[in-house]
Amino acid sequence: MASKLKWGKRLVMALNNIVVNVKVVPEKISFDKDTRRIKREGSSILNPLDLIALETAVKLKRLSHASITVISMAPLKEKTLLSSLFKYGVDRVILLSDKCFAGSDTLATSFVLKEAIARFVADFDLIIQGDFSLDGSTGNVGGELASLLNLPFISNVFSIEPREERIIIKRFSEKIETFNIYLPALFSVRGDANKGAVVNLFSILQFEEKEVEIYTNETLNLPIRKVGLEGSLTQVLSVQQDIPEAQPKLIKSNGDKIIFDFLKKAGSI
Amino acid sequence: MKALLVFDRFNSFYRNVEDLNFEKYFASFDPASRYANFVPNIKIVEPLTGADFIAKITKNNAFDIIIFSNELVVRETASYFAGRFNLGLIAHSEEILLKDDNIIGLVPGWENINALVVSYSIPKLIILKSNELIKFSFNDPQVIPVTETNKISLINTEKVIENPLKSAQRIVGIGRGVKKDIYAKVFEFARLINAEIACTRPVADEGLLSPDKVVGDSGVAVSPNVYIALGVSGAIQHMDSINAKYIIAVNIDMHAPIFGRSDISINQKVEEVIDGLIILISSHNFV
Repeated sequence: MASKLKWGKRLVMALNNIVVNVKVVPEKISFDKDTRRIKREGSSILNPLDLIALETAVKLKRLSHASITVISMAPLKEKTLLSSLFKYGVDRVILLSDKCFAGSDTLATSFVLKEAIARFVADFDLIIQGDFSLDGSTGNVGGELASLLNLPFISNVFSIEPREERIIIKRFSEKIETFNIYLPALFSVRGDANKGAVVNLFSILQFEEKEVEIYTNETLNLPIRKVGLEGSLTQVLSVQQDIPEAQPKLIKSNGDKIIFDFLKKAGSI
Repeated sequence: MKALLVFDRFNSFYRNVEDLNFEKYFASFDPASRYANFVPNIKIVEPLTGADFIAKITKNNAFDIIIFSNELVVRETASYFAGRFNLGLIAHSEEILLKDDNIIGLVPGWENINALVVSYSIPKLIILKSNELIKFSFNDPQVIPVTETNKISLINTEKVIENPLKSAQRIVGIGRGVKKDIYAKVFEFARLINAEIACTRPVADEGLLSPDKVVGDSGVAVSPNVYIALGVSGAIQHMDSINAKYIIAVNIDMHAPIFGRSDISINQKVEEVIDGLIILISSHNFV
């Protein structure tokens, strides 16, 4: 495998503003058989792949002294969860929250993010996010947002090497591909983007008190027909769950012995 | 209905739409492809050029639906194209269903919850599963000249070292039903039977194992002799990539869908079974 993150020794002065899009996801979801709807259970968490994107941004900050802005579209109650990000070197946290944003599909979400970025962090150089969210798993937002902002876009990235006004990134496809990308750009990272890296989020704790900036549609003033359920061109008609009946062949005890006998017979032990 | 089917190397998603009464056209990202109606003049490796390619094809041909394979560059292109032309995109679909002239995507999610998703835009965009090439023959594909962006360029490619899971004969698969504190025991069990460790995507997303270990849609496909699934619910995205001679499932949830696919189905706690196995194998080896 190719070498992991390479970090040059010199400062990368061209990077001034990095945006990291972070999604708040439920810790667990389940299916309510009576209402046939999805139930969110447990507390909310930050999408793990977006945190890896944030860690990547934090490392770039150490090289360039860039400012990091986290943007999240989420209910107001997630303010506390998002404010925890200040501890890790994030300079601004922007929470986009309005009832009219609820039910947005990926394109409507990308539209809100694009408008917010254009308004509040217009001078960004780089946008980073996770490849997928734990709950939706569509992976659409990266490409849609990049397109709306007219930016180059690459996903599945595992290595980033900043070079002044451009970056060299590596990603897995059928092969390992190395791209030269001129900034500004958007890329999304896969799970092992930081493997082998020295710094982790906890090593740069900062204790400066900062406030999450909250913007509703009163500030953004986006047309209702372009956001939320109304602005969504795709819609979930229904959900269903495949639950097979309990199998009559289920073994309730001595499972270890049964597997042991099978493996022994198969010559595995 | 007129459909454009877009792929890079693999077009087996065709099987999902073979029976649907669409007038079908094929577009490949590979200029050398003989299995498409439309090819670009250069190999497409990133989504800006990919979206330009599709835009030029659709400029003179109105399609009701554009179906994209789930190959990386094609997926990226689908979302980039959706953003550029403000079109709804149904991603990650297993199947296309037709109901009252509506095109519906069957999208698998967490906990074996499937969503039926509809798109209201024209053309409708959908990403469908695809893993192999079906060979059609077309005479003289139309070459579409694309405009390369100067913002991004591919400067090198290297071969990927083959993932050992692909050739492993014994695999121990870890799902979300395995508690973190017994990972060490599971690794020890795998070592004792000379098995490779694999996992489901949520396990890798939580940072518990490397993405290289993911078996499934977004990971590798495996074909071992025996697959021992520990705490794996049996989501279709995971199971469809397992072509094992024998599947042994251990799960405390008696309704876990994996029990519909397993040859040996153990409805017990994973830790209980693993503890017992380590003792049984260790004493067997000692003797």
